[in-house]
Amino acid sequence: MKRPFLLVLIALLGIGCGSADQVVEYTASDAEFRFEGPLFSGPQSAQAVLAVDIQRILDSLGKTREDIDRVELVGADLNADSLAFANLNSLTLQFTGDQSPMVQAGVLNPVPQGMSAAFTPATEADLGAVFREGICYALLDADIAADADTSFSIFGTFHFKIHLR
Amino acid sequence: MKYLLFSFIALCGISMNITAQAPVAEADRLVGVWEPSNGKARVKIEKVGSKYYGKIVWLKEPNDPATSLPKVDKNNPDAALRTTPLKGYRLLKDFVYKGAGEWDSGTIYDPENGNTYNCVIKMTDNNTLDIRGFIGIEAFGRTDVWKRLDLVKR
Repeated sequence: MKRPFLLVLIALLGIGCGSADQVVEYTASDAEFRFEGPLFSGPQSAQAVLAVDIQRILDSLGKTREDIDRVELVGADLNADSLAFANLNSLTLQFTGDQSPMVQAGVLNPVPQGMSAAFTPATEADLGAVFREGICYALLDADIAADADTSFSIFGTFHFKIHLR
Repeated sequence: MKYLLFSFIALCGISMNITAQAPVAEADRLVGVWEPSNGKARVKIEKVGSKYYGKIVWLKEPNDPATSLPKVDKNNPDAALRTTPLKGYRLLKDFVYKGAGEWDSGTIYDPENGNTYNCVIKMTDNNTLDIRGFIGIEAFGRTDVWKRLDLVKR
């Protein structure tokens, strides 16, 4: 009785291992989000275009963009060129493409003081469609705390896990 | 004669350019600040790439009465996103202009229950939108009328 059960268990584990996807890590750095002043308190947005340069990685694995199953954001680090974070209540990060739908990937509320910050990424956000498309628009929605007659930039580095079929 | 010919070609060029831009200008009529029928919020619709998105820019009650803090998206199905402020929230996403005053392929998010619905926007006149949210089939949905908010000219 125990032996058939053990065999079934081993077979199930084998199927599970066989279907396990291949995971590739990818980092996009130095995306600049420019907030042009004068800035008024309330919601303001800035966007950056990320060229998702993964063709070489895919080629080396004998894969194409169509083999991308899902993509998760595992980390997002932000740096400001000034004390910009002091005038921000919150930051929301979103990704979209020309064809693919917009996905909210993280939120920072409140924004810590200083010149760098890290997002806690959304757990359910799948950026697979954006990565299959190749061009990715990153949008940073900020809630500005007070009117400011200034401009500033926030630079983002994004770490992704690409799950391949 | 040569001068006339050049003028004619130039005029044709200008006219073709105007014709090509007309659908873009027509689609961009959606851009602006709009108020849903309940008057609880104001939504700014803007263009990102070739699609249209709407975010909350004003709330009648900006603070949560329970906490006295600015309202956040506490019903988001993703627990990691429940601290997203409602002011600035993009609740209309991914609308594409279809023609004849209609934008489709988009979604609308209801922060009161955390649900996202398929959505179609129809402009009935320059200052009025029919926003129809639905699940699956458009016929089984609900329509809300939004009015354009114009700045008072002083």
